[in-house]
Amino acid sequence: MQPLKGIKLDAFPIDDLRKVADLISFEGPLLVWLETGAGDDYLFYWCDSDEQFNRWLVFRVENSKLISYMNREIRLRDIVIGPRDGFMYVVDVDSNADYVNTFFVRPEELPEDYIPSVESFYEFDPEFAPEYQDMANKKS
Amino acid sequence: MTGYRFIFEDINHEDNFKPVLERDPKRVLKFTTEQEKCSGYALSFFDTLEHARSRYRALVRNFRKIEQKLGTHVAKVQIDETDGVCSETGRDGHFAVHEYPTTNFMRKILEIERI
Repeated sequence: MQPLKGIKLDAFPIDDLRKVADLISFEGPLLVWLETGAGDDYLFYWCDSDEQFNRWLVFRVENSKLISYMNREIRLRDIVIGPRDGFMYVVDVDSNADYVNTFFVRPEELPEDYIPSVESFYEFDPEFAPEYQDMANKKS
Repeated sequence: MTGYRFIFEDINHEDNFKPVLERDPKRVLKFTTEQEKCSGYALSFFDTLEHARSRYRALVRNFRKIEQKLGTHVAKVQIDETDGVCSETGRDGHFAVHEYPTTNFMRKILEIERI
């Protein structure tokens, strides 16, 4: 796992997330779209792993950006380097799905390997959660 | 039939034919549903080498470190009815196999090449 320049936090601060869709998955999720009870959109983006943890970038994103991304108008790279709040959380998740380490990180502090390539336009099929199936129907 | 699966360069790597939810660490999140957990016990294959390569390259464009999850090679594997239950093949050529306990795909590799 690559070292991080961010600030280590005591705990992951968001606890009311519901899954909207797996935007990219392969033998498990890699890019997950979530929503808070207040209606804010978040992305969980897998970026690294070691023997103990999977590491995810977690950040708030504008709904309009998500739609543009799924319509192939902007790249995943653009979304990752431009989170809505100007910062993101980096969380190390163990095999029990517990958040063991949480860091506060600005995108410019991310290792280059954690940022999608310049060719990261959307080329996958989203898998919407059952309660968001109406969004899938609109898309198709 | 044959299928193409991503594997590590070391043909004996323990993760080559291990479903994602059996690997350590498991790539699960708190919002993983029971249905997703079920699919996490299947092995992913593609119907052609070209489909396998296409998906791999798409994943690498989005996840620079995905090699450490998937490996760097692709294996052509013999899959028989006695090996398990196959899903339908998607338009991207992907299908999943829920293997039977006695199946050993490591012994059914026909060819290996770097992706």
